[in-house]
Amino acid sequence: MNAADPDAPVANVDQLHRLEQLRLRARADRQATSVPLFTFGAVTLFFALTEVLRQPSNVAHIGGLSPLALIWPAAFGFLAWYYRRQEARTGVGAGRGSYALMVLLPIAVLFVPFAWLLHFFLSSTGVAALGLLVMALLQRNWYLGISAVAYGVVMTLEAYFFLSYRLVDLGQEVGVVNDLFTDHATAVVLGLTGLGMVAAGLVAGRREARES
Amino acid sequence: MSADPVPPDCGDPAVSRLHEVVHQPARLGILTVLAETRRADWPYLKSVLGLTDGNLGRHLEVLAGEGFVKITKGYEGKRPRTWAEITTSGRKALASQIAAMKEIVERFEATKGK
Repeated sequence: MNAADPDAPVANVDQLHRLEQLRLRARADRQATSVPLFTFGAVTLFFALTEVLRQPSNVAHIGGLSPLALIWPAAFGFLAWYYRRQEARTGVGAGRGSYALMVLLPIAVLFVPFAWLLHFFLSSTGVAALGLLVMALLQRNWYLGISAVAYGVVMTLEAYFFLSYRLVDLGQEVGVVNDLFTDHATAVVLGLTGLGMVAAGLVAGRREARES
Repeated sequence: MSADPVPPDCGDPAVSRLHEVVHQPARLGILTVLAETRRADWPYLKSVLGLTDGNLGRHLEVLAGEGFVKITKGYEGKRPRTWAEITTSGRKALASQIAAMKEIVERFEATKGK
């Protein structure tokens, strides 16, 4: 195609459309959106389960931090392992950024001077959401980025029990509050958030299957 | 093959930003896929772009010659495996190419409306 050709703009439209299709297909082939969303959803559902079982209050805390915070480095480690295995199996690379580096983020904020403030204000889950947002921005994956922001906001608010208090208030208004409801309001919020992430992952997975 | 932008003397800044090496459809496709995946192996590129071994090899050679991709050959067990990885200059060339193409289209749309 000669760019100086009078038909070049029309050809460029076709070419740009074809390139966008290729980009979407490559993104779908590497399951760039669904797998991180499923992972975050699964971890959040696990948090909800431990909340129901009252695990966090029973286990010993390390320096005031729950050992459950270590689940985020494990989750990023799983994502790094998954994409490495996929690359070896299918020949599709993992895209920009590195989930392996993100393993260090939740740990680094504990030890880097003043970075612990981030951990203090956002909670370990908020820091993990920030890591997911960084990956989404590096990969220009807007769906993943918006999901990471929504997840980070919800989980940070819930770190201060903001949403579970609102849920209890709502329960009082409609007259369904009892001790069980009050005790498990946080688990309900975490469970709904986890299900929300899984649902977002399912939507992304369906789109990936269609475009792949 | 020259890597000079084409055509050099047409006077349109967007057209003159088009890169002869990158503007070829198969090579644009290779760079687009690699920009998304960072790296990909030979069979994947071949299948996603619908190219033959010979075509893919020739286009990758041209892109590697310009420093836009890096080719790595190795073995996985006894099976040879070839990977192509996009370089920083490859990303820049692709971004500039797409921006120039979009500019041409936008200008065309604007003049069509007059």
